[in-house]
Amino acid sequence: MSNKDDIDYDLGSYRCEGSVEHFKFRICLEISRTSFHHKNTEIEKKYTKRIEKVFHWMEKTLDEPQDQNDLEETSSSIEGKLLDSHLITKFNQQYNGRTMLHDVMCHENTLTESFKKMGLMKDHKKNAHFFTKNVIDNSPSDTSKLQNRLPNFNQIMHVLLDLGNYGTENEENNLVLASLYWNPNSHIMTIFPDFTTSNCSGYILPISTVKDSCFEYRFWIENLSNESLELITDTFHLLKLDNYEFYIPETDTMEIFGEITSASGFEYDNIFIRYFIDLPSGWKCANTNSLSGTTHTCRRNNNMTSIFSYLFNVTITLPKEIDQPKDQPINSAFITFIIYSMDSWNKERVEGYASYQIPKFSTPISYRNNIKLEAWLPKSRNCVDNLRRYFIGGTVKLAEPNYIGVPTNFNEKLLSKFGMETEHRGILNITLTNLMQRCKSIENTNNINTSDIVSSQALVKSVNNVMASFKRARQRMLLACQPILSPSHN
Amino acid sequence: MAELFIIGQLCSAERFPSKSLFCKWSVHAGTNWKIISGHKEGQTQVDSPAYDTRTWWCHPIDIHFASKGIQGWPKFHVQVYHYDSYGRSEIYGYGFCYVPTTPGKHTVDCHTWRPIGNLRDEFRRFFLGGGAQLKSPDFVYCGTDRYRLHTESLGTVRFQLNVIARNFRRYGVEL
Repeated sequence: MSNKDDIDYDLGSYRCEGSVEHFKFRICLEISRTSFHHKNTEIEKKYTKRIEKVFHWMEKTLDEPQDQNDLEETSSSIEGKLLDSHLITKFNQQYNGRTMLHDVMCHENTLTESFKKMGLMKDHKKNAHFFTKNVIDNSPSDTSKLQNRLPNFNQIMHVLLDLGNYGTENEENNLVLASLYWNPNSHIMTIFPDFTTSNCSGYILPISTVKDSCFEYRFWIENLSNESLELITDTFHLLKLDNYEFYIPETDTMEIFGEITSASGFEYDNIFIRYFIDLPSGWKCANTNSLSGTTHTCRRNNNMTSIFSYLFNVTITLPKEIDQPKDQPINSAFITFIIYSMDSWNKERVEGYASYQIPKFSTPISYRNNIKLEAWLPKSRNCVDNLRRYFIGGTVKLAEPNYIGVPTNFNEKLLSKFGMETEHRGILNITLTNLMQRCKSIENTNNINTSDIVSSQALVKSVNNVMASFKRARQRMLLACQPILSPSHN
Repeated sequence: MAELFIIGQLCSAERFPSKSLFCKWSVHAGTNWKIISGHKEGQTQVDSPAYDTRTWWCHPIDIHFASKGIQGWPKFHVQVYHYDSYGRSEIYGYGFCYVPTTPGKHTVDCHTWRPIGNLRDEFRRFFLGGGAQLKSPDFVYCGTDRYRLHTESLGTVRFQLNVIARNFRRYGVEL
């Protein structure tokens, strides 16, 4: 079960409008020393320190080291480093004016080698009269970049957390919190990890453990550029790119994946099957050709079974609840199968009828395997009909295939099929899957699924919510009681 | 993006006319689906059981799909071949089945069929082997053109698959 607070440590891509100089974001870092005992798995936070900083694009900052604080009391060497932790930034600008593909530039190959040699040769006095014209422009201006359509590389900005002591710029102490990539050509800003929402639990850096206490670094990244809604010239708007997201239809959709597997126990050989799908009014199918189909003709094997392995799929759009007309004869979709046989004289006979109701609401198991449908055939008391079936082919058939279920022109209150005599024929094996996909709507943004309401998952989820809030309340209580409980504080 | 993991094996086959068999399998999915890792097709070894009624391959299947839509759900396509004592291989059946949509452990039986020709072809197949084959199996994937075929039923191929789905609920698909 996914929690609303869970957030993926993932890339976020944004299309940006405005000038990148007005981009600002804030990082809140919370460092807490926790006591983690092996016996109980509860983590109690003590001595939390919080640093917040607002960054602008390409701003090189060195935060002032924090003053001595109450974390100093412990004597462990790792904890000593916490005193001076501060946030710094580092940036790279990679752009090159040469008219080559940018991934070629990153590698050493014959092309780059020869350009380097040419540059060296140019400086050599002997060759001064050859190179009267300057062919290589090492840093082109913006206008020449636009004129020559030179590729623009990403400008990269990293936000680092420096855990070293004040003054020492040791590379090993730097941990990258976030990286931002800005492409000036396409105005796409990619930030890794993505911005955090307002009430999530933040990203956790890998923690270091010393005996039975450890540090937890938790940080949040917030985007400050979109705060003002009116379009002023000096703002910077970010719009989330949804290219990689899943396709969500506008209305509820049902996908049916069906498979006609086999048929067995029928009277004659060389069987093929036709299927029809009947939809109630209001349900629509974009591709009506997929609502019916025919399998190939199959000769039965020693077990009297004909195997088809015929896969089909249908996409049905369900109407919204408001639009659904009342008093319709059928409320859900039916699949009707007609089993035919063709013999060596090319006489076609109907061998049986079968039908299956496609469930309207999604059930816990969407894949139903090995559904056995019993097929029946209308029987006539007239012996002439039986003779006709044997000699010529042609049997007593139903006028409309959907008489098997509910007929389409049925308008009365009582469905009575009295008078039709049938006999059981054979068995049809099918496998059916129906997947329901809900649309984007206001009710669904809270991730409430209607199946949750009626199932036991709802109960488990509510119990989990209660336990989570109890845990939070207990932690708050412990924090409040700390001045009384902890020894030798100040 | 939703992800689908299919982990399992192509287990065995039974009820074919002969027991010395190998199988070529492949997974096909629509344009919404992309394979992140794993092989999408393969060929098993030749197994000739001496006493057992089943032919066992236990060929591993481990595929990771990323999906942008539920249309074009992946399906398996198997072709079972017979490897006889003369070293010839002839087709024994084509089978198709969908990957189960419900997460969990499934045993999927994929039934196979093979096209047959007229009486003369069948007579020849009985003595010499070979026989009618599909020129390109792609023709029968979607099923709309299959009604022109005349086929006969053959045995069954068994898959044991574990299906794990991720992120489908977030986009409104209830598996």
